[in-house]
Amino acid sequence: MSERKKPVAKAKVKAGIYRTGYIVAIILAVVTGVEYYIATHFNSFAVMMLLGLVKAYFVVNYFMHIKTLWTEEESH
Amino acid sequence: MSLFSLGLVRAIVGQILGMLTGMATTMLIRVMLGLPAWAAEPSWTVGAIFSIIGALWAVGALSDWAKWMKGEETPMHHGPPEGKPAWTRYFGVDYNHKVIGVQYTVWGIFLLLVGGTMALIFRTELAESGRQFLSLELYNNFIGMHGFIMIFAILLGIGGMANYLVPLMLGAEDMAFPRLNALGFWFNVPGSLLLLSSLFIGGWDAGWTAYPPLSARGPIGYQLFFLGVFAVGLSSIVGSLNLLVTILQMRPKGMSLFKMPIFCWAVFATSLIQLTATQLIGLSFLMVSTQRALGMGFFDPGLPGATLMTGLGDPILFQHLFWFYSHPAVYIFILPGLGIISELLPVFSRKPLFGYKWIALSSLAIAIVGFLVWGHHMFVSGYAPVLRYAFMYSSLLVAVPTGVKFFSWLGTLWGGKLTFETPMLFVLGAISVFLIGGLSGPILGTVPSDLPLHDTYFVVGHFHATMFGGFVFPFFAALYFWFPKVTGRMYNETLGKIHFAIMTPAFWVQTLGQMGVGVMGMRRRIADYDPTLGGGSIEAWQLSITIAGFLIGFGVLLMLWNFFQSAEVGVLAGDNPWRSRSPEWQIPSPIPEHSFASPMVVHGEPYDYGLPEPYVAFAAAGDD
Amino acid sequence: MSVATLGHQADHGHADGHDDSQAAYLERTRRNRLGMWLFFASEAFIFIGLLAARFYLWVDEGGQMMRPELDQVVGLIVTVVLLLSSYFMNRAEVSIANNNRRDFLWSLVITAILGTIFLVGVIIFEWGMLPFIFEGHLKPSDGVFGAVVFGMTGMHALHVLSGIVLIGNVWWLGRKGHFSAERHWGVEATAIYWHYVDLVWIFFYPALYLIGHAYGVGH
Ligand code: HEM
Ligand SMILES: [Cu+2]
Repeated sequence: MSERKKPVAKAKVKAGIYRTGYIVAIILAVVTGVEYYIATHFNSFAVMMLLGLVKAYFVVNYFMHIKTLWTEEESH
Repeated sequence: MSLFSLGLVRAIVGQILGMLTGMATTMLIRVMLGLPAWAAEPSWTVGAIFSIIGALWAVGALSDWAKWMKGEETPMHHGPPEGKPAWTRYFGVDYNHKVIGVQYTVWGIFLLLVGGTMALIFRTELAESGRQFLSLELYNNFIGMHGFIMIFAILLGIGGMANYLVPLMLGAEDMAFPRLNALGFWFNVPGSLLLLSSLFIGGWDAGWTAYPPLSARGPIGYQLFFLGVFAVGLSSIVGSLNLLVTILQMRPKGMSLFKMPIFCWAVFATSLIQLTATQLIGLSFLMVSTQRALGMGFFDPGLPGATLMTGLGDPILFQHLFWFYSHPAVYIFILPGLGIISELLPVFSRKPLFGYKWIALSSLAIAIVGFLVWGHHMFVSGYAPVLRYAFMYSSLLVAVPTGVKFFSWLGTLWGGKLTFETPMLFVLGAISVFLIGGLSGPILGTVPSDLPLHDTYFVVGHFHATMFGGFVFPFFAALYFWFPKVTGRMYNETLGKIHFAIMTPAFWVQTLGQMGVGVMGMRRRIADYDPTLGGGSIEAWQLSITIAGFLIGFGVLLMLWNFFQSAEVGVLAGDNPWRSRSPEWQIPSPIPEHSFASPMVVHGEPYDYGLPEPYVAFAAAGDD
Repeated sequence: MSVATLGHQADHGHADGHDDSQAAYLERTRRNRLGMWLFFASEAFIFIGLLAARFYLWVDEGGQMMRPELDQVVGLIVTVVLLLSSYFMNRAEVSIANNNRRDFLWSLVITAILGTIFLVGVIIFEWGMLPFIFEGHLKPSDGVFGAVVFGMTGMHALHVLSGIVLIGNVWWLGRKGHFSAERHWGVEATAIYWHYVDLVWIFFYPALYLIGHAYGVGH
């Protein structure tokens, strides 16, 4: 994913960015499955929170593009 | 001109209609569910929610958002409303931050008078032992109401100073979100009216802290009180959000964060607390509210032997959530005031502010450490004993950044060319009073000395000293100081000095007297007391406190009269009567609709009195 | 040109303060964005407060962390539905940035439908509000279990509901041709709000359904 290093707002206008959406959604789904599995088999608070943070990272970074807060956008 | 062209009138009518609509809706739903139509508590609660929306909608604070949702453009209107006298803009929705600042300030002073009147009423009751004229219910209602109205008044006073001053000090045309700014102010109107009207439907009798189980069982007035706090809390949140964005993104060229006037730092730290902590008082009140309305037993332990399915709620949880806001809240009350002290001292000593960076950072430090000390209000609550140590040490830690401020003020005064106009007098009074409050804080923050003093008048004396030193005195200093900027005319200096001469000693008597009767064993929130306390001297102390209270009230009225008079007949003040270097004094008084005719550029340091290079300059007009 | 000077010109450019240049638009968007994130920071404290209440209260006499035994299938389904909706919300935003209007509008519709399914799932299956369809496990007045479950899901559902209203509004404006690839702050704001609602659920889901020892609550 070469878009990663560029300012997100600019990357937003590239057609390839659609793919990021799929990938993030799949990762989130997989982690949720893992969460469910661990919860029903082991019951660990720490692991649950950790997995929650992993999911949060993906949402905040790729869906909410928090980076736009500190990267400059170019005017068109 | 019809009465309805005044926004305030529309807001009140809208609030009443909203209340009725909410009640009707509740009744309709109840009938549909097959319940008896009228039930007091749900009707008043839903009515109160609708009443807030009704007021905002009727005054017009929501109309631009409604238009955005419809996709319409909303060009910004500048200047007084068309076809109406100019003064009416102060009574309606206006997007200019200078108007909003005045609205906040005036509404705050109005609440100060209401809350002060209540205090004088129950102080009269307390002047003698035995019960005179207040019923016990009314006494309980008045102390709680006095407390929360004053908190509203302080929040509004802070909002007034911040909204008026911050954009001017940053050389910005306005706040980052002018519409949100207006909405933020107008939340306060239905909020404070709800709070006041709760008195008429049973009131609320648990004091301002509203601890359950009492607040979960008392009269319906609690629901209106909670919703009033919600509305004002929303104002705090959107207001602080606006100020943070303004400070972070609207500074002029050359003004780094460490070159802002120091008041902006104080507002920045305050806003950080307000933005976040306010949610917790909202949440804790919401939880009590739902416990009352829906039986959600967050704070209800249930019967002996209860399980997680039938009880096990915990009232101590409420205290944690409540104080997680309400301790940081005390720093909300004082940080802007301390900022005013730091702002004015250099002007009246003609010297740079001593240790600018330290003061700026100490505000942040207070804000952050302030989040870690809430448990010092709960030493006797029965929480885990180990928490006592943790909260004791963290509380004592707050004394460090507070001390930094004191030393910086002394350093600024040291060797300065001091002059003693009224604002300066109030600043010095503030320092003296805050010192009393600050010294009594660690006494309460230390477990062994707090155990006997908790819930006594000593605590009352402590927080009155911190709030007067940290807010009331600096606020009055600010009113006198910026009065010529707002009105273009000078207040009457003699009256100002008389006000100071009456209020300061009176306040010393009041606060030290409160601490004194507390040490004698006088409990707080009790309508009567044992006349033999203090070897029989307590009645004399109580009487002096009451007299001091009336003197303070008289002083405040004197100040208001001075302002009303001087706004009409005071001598013209000129643009910069204090020879200040701050940006707002480099532009005409009163300030024109568009504050800055040309962009501001920062050259020097904010408080370099005596150097030739100015702090700010303005690009030649017309080059933008 | 620095941001600060840009802001200044935006303010002085027109007497009515509405500069229509793209630079001024970007400057306003930057402010809006910061405001939005500060709003999230503020809201986070409500949700953290609720989580704190959950971990404070759901403890049995022995100090064990507990949870009520809720319907795991319902929990997993609504979680996945909300996650999927976040994907489509993101797709909507990317589409408008690429001027792909058809995809933009359809993605919004799907997001709103998924959000509604989530809400209905919560109301019918988690809360048991329509007992003739599904008999719920808990009532709000069932001790601290009922209080916290309804407190957390209620606060979250309120946010989902407002999100759906916003999405509907954006869709309606979008149909009227209101947004463009260069100017779609309204879409972006709605999108990050919706993701924020999802973010909250990321922590609420394990707190409600997965963490702690299950305590049978079947009616
Ligand atoms: C040196 C720093 C301070 C310390 C260590 C401190 C400590 C305390 C403690 C331990 C209490 C609880 C007393 C009790 O109920 O037994 C208390 C009460 C209070 N303090 Fe402070 N304080 C400090 C500064 C301030 C400041 C600056 C304010 C600003 C307004 C303030 C406002 C209050 C209020 C309003 C209460 C009463 C709360 C109530 O109604 O129960 N304090 N303080
Ligand atoms: Cu405190």
